[in-house]
Amino acid sequence: MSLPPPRADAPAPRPNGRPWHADAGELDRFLDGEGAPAERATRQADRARDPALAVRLERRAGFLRLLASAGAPALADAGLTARVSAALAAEARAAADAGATAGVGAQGGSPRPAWARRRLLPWLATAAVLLVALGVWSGLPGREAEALHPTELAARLLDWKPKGVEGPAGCAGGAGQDVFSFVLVQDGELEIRACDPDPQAQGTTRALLRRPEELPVMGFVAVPAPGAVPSSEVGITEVGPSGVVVFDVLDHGRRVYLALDAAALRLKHAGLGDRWTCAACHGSVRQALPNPHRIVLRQAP
Amino acid sequence: MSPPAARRHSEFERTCLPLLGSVQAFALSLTRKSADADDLVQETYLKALRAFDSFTRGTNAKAWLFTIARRLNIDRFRRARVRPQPLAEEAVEDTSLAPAAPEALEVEGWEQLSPEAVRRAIDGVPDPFRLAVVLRDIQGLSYQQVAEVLDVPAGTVMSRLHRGREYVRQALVPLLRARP
Repeated sequence: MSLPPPRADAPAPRPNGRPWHADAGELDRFLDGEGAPAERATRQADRARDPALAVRLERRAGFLRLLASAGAPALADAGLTARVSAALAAEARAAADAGATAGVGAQGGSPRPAWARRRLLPWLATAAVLLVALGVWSGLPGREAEALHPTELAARLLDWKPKGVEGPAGCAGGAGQDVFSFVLVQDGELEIRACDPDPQAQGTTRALLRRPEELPVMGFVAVPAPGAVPSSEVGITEVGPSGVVVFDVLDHGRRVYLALDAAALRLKHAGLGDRWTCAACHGSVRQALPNPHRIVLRQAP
Repeated sequence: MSPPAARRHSEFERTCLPLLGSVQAFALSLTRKSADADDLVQETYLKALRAFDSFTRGTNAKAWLFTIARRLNIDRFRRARVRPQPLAEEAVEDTSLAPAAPEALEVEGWEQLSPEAVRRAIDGVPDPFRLAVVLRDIQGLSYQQVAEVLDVPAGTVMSRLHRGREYVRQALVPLLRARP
């Protein structure tokens, strides 16, 4: 389509001698709705009386609509949403803790600080949850990981007899096994209670974690799915805000990030571009391995 | 958590969490890697939560979050000491964008192209211009908001936006003409 010829009553030129529509940037600026009301009114009048200008503007507007159509979906993926939400919750808890600690200092004289009392309660609640879970688990037949409810899996973890060294130094598997290191996070966000290279499934590991405050108990179990590449991915299943999280080794070929926060898992993996990673999977020993776990999110059964 | 802190946290979530998808998309346009983008999103939200008291209620929360994300991304480059050399706009003009009369790229039938083709074309635009296009055309910010996010004058936004759009047009016009 050819442009209509300019009319005799074309818009007046600007001070630089050129009409505003000679500048393509100004055309876009007009189409973008920018400019003062008086200026826009003038330009709208120009468009109304200049068919050639109207055609140019419409063509450019069509292009801008196309650009807008390329917009990304407004919703973030579920993995990121969960991850950010968890990080925000941990941040809020940390801020609350800091405030409470400051408050105790200001009051002085308390034989048992408020923050210590608050932290004790979740530990007791955690123990209660695990005991209940153990009771559920006790009647389970077989050992097929995928067939078990995560609560039951977590309960089974209680039956472990940790063979490694428990404590801040972490624990490692024996010679010839895939070595796992677990880092105790010192700032009170996460504690490894036990870890144990699985004697029946080499290349896997399992660990029982607990976190203070109201964070959920987490049970790690690494059982390779049939045909999966051992130690390639760690899965996580979260059962409610106060439930359990179970990890297992899978190979889905996709990547969804763990819905835990960096504040709780203060470890950066040098081999992964200094990315925040799960300290339990990427401890100091683990980092030296060529195939660190990737973490995938699984649907709760 | 004390009641005021809980209210503040709740308000933050109500204000900012619905924008997570937009922040993720913008972070991806900054980092060009989805893993890095997700990390950046998390850092952005944590920093935003800490700084929420400084957010002016009623202003554009998306622009505020984008500003935090962009600054954090710069910090990340600085920490990694691999800050990319900013692309000189003059050099881009000389070498990459062949001069063309604006009218030559003002064609019809844009609706025939797929959003995916547009996204690919936008991805090929040099950074300074691409970010302006993303913020204005994809994210729908005003020129002034784009200027605040990118920390440049509004006039620079207009220039970058125009140039960025011309890049996209130049990439897409051949596709349009090749269609039967």
